[in-house]
Amino acid sequence: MITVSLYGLYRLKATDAKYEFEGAKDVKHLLTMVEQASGIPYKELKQAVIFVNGSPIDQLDMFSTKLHGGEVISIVSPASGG
Amino acid sequence: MKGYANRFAKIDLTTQTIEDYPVSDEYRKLYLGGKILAARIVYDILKEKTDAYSPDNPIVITTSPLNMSNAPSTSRFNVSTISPLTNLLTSSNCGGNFGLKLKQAGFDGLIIVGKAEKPTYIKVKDGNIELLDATPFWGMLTGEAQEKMGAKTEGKFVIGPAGENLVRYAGVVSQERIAGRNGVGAVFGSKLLKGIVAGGSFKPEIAEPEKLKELIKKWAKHLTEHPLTGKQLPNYGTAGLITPMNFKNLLATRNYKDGRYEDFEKISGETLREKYLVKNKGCITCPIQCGRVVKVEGKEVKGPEVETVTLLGSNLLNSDMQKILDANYYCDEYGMDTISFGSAIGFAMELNEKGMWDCGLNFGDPDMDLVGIAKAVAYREGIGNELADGTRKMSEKFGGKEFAINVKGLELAAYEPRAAQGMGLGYATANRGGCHLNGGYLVVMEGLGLNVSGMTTKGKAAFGIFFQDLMEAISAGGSCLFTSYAVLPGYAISHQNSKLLRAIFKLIPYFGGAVGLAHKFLGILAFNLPSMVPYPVAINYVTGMKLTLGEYLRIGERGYNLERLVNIRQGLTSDDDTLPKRLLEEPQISNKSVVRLDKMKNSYYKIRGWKDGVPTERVRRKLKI
Repeated sequence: MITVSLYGLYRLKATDAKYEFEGAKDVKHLLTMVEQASGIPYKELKQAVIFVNGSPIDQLDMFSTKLHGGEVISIVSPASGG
Repeated sequence: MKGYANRFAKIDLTTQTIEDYPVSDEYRKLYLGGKILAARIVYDILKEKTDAYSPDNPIVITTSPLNMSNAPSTSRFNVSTISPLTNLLTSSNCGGNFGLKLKQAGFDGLIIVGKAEKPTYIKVKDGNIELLDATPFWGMLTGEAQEKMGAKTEGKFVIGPAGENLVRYAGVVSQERIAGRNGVGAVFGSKLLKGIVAGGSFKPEIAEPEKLKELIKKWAKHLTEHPLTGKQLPNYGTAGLITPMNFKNLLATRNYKDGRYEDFEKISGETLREKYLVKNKGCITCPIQCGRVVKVEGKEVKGPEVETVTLLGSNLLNSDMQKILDANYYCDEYGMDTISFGSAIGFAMELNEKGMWDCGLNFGDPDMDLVGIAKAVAYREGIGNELADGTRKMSEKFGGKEFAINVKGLELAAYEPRAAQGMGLGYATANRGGCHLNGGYLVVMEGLGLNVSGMTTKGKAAFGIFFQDLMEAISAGGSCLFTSYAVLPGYAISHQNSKLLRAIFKLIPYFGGAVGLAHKFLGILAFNLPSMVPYPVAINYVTGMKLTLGEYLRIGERGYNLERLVNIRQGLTSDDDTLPKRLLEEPQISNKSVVRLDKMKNSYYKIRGWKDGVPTERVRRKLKI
């Protein structure tokens, strides 16, 4: 089971804030599943700041980062202000 | 000069005299207004080191050329004085309507010196100024005082009990906005000045109204279409930062021991929106509308910003959002800064944990009475009397200097700098102390808006200086600093994962040398980029000045150096440009890093042209100071 949480602007476009998926082999594959479940186009999800178990994918293997089940994926929009 | 009221008043509360204070067009061209013009006035008035509570310490309230221009997000005004937290020059910027009303009253600014014999308020109306008895209003909360002092149509700028009782981080409130940082409200209180009311019918002349109108239209469109100012901020307010800050190890947690908080979701911008938001609210002329309206005790009141949520939330291991909303409201009513308040509590909790001060405050205590603590601070009762002095003074009494999270006496903002080296440098070098905005707010580049590595020190000095000077100039012109996020290309924010942008983000630190060189030769920027940096163009259309981008940035640089020169007079040395030991030597729990300050600081001084933190004669000549 892979848990996906949406944050920021992605949360506004989705039907739910959290999703659970099985069988995604990597981040790219997972995003296609998120697209189907949430209604957010894949090309938009691809521009998110994505974390696998709290680590940013740009410090892993980007969209080819392998998933094995049990991961927590966080999909976040960039932000500023304060 | 067009765009200005062309009038300043100097008010002496001791002698009860009021006179015009001369400010030349030359000064307007060199210093614009706001915090930079105020720094020049303080520099001219104070010739020697002065204590914050001395009657000689001037309060300088300044408006700016873009106030009343209808340009986006330009209702901001400034108050500068010597701070009781740092004993250095501070400037505190405020929304609310007071700045606009002061200008409508026919003044660009007020200079207030001396100390009144009894509680006093100042009434500024259509070019006239009166000093009036504030005894009936003394002791009132800021909401009630604003309601009862002056007419409904007038702008108000008042202190609450915190200012009256000299809480060192007391602020001054206009509507629901507060000039919060660095204790300007305590300086009001030390002078027995409850507040100022202002109003009138003056309208500044605009040099090129049609061109300005056209620019404003495009500028507002750019802000509303930009991913940060048009989408993120309106939807989530600044509290929308909590989530990305947490994931990027930037969220001040447990008195800055960590950059991540396991319960961050309970205090996130998403939770604020989904469970507590009544509606958005913002300043006059602002298309961003980042303000939140929430409910406290059944009333609709201003919601918290990211700073408040962090310092009263993760920093105390408090995941109860309603407690944060309640405390935020009461801090505004008492008239005090939530950042320093939260930081002082976090420090007290760690002192208690270590057995250094038996104050009864504990991290993560579900029964913590934040509103009660705020009241104790505002009235200096019990432990509130110690908390009211801020972390530096508390550490002088109880010890724990290494984990008293302040710079130069001002408590740090919400951003944990061990995951954003440039932000660490900014905090260390900021003229007003541990301020993210005066520090250049490089964290926006280092992982929040853009994705430049926060862990490298490379290029950070040059970029930090660029943004410090840019934000200085933006503020002096009268614009909200949040508009500056739209200076960053929208595409770079919304397409962070493209191969091209990832490569650019990796290369950006290597452009530091070029940015540093451009800083030296700003004359080469003898042009304007209105779609990216509209501020100087707007100022030109309002005033008739002929500013280029380079000259505009030079004004920012002039401001930064002026502030530094006032501070040097106040006794500042390069040793003060540092961070608490915790941030320099104790690795953050989540990302195991510290701030590597020394190398960045040397580059910073070199690019600024400072020797041991002091602007050289050559720099002063270049800047015409």
